[in-house]
Amino acid sequence: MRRSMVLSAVLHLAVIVLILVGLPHFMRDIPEDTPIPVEIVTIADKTTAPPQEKPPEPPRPKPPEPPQEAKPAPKPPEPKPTPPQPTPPQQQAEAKPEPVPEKVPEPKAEPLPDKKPEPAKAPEPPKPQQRFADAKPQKKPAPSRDDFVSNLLKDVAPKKQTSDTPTPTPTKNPTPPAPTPPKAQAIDDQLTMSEIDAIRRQYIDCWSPPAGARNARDLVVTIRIELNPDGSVRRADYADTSQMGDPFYRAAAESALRAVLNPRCNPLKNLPVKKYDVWKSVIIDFNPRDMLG
Amino acid sequence: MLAAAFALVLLAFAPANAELRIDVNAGRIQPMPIAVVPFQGDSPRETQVGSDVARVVAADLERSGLFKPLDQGSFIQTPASLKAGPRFGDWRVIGAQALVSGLSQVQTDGKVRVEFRLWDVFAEQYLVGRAYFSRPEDWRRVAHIIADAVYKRITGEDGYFDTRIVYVAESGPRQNRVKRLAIMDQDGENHRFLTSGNALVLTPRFSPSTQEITYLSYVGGRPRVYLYNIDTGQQEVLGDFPGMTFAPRFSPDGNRVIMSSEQGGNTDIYIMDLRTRGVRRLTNDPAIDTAPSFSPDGQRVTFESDRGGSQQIYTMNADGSGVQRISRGDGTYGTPVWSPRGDLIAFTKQHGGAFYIGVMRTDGTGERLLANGFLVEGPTWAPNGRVLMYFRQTPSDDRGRGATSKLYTIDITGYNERQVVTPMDASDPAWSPLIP
Repeated sequence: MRRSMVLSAVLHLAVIVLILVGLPHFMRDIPEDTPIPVEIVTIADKTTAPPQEKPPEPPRPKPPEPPQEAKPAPKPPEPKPTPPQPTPPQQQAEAKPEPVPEKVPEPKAEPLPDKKPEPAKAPEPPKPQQRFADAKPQKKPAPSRDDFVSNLLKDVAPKKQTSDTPTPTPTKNPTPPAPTPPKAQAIDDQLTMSEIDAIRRQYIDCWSPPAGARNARDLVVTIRIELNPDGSVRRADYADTSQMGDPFYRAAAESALRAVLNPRCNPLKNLPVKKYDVWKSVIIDFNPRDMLG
Repeated sequence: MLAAAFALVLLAFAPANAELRIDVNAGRIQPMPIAVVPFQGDSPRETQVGSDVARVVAADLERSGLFKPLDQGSFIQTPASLKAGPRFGDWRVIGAQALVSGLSQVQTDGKVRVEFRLWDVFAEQYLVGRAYFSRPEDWRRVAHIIADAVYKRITGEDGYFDTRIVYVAESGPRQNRVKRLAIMDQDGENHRFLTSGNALVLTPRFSPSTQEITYLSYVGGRPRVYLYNIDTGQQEVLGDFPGMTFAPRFSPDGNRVIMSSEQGGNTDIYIMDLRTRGVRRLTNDPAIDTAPSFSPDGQRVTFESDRGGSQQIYTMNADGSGVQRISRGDGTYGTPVWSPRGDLIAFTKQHGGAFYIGVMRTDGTGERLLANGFLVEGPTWAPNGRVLMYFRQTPSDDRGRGATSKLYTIDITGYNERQVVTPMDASDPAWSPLIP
């Protein structure tokens, strides 16, 4: 009797010990050789790019930037599904005859010859910095809230009415620029995502797109830029001049070129000097589609 | 998401030495800083004309909301030295992106010659330049034409500064309101009355030729559509309809007038050929069909109708076929006006106790409400389809009494709402095409 009690106790104990110690061990299944994908994303210390997963350092102070662009969420922002855009129906009535100035009978007009034909683009040496003393070297002026126009088309409809309309009404915030995927190469022969983002943000600040133009959202302009080591523009050209006969496209193209040549963006700031070979030649696509939906 | 991740992976293996390409998909829409230098002249009179013209050019550009003329006090290069060409660095440093300079001369025959040149400061490029000859008293028109040329070269769109506004000027107590037709330049200058105020007038509309206006008048207590010639001051009744006619509007070619006619308690849309005076009925529905407006190509007509139970906007072919409803939101919609650019239809909307001025695409999608208020009504397009004018009534007390009525303009982006100053209360504006 006593023996059996002891035996029973020992057996019970053995079962308990087995449960506590053994089973978890058997259950645990650590796939030791399964590779855990870790994406190496190079982030410079100056950025407002959406932080990648597990930023190693504490959140950095956010430099001034376009409103609500990047929030310090622990996840990279998912590319916003662009809502299907209905094709604007304004295709008809496209070709407007160029009104000639001479249409006015009373005040007669005559085209003037260009008195001093300026060379289209004189390759110029880097501009002396002090000339644009007002262009601050580091801090970008925060976009003022009371700008005559924000980035969007305005709608005074009461909030709930937005659901009434069959098409997406313009959102209040510009779609954050899609983060350009970094290339998984050696760090010195490419720009980091944050360096690219820094360039993009400078141009966002300098570019005033043709908001109310007909088909404004389709007027995508590509500019090829060659930069000097100090970030100043050595040469900037339209990548495609075939559409320059269209006055709307030409206006959009010129607005893009003005952004590149704007003293606030020329010279470009915060470029990594040692990566000059990477950014000495840049192609910029000025694309208003997301803003003007 | 998955596709994005896939694309990311693909891009990760793209060649490392591919050219750096950056997509800039946002910007800050801001008025363009522009320097308008007083046009130079040799005599005091020429100098006066030159600075007057420059002032009006700058004011036009500023009012569009797309330009910010810079203070002349900030200019570094002197206007006189501009004859030798601009020193772009001097203009860049004060933030000018474009530069307008010019000359004015009084010629021996008494005419004034005004020339201007437009320069892109950043690109250091000459953009456009023209010279105009006019009578000295027409200097304002010359300034508007120059502003139009600058606007067109920079934005790609035709300007709208060399235009006029006809509207209903209102005065007197509410019960005995005097309503007169008045006309003025788009900037409020050269204001004059066209009718005496003996008969009530409503809904004036410009002919594409700008010399004629069609409108509704209650001469003898009977509302009928009239035609008024601005040059001669002549007016005539349009058509001999048994009932009342209203809501007239010209066709884009100016040869026809489309309007509503009420006969036997039913209102339908009719079109009259001004040359033959032949009349054709376009709609035939027991509901009220009114406020017709042609598309700029003359192929389609938009109008308002309550045939579906509430007042909504419809479109149809110019022969009355192919009717379809395009407004789909809550509330009621009225007074649709097709944009001269063809891409949008402006309208008045009533919903939740408020009025709105809005635009939608011609298929009814993309509705955006631009202005709202106690009463906003009567949208009319600038000839380039970029700006809308309308009138706004503001009550002076909570019970809606003693309202004042003023004209306003707004950019189709929904920004830059401006009051158009008129000598008295104003309603029912109509924007002329560019003056030929």
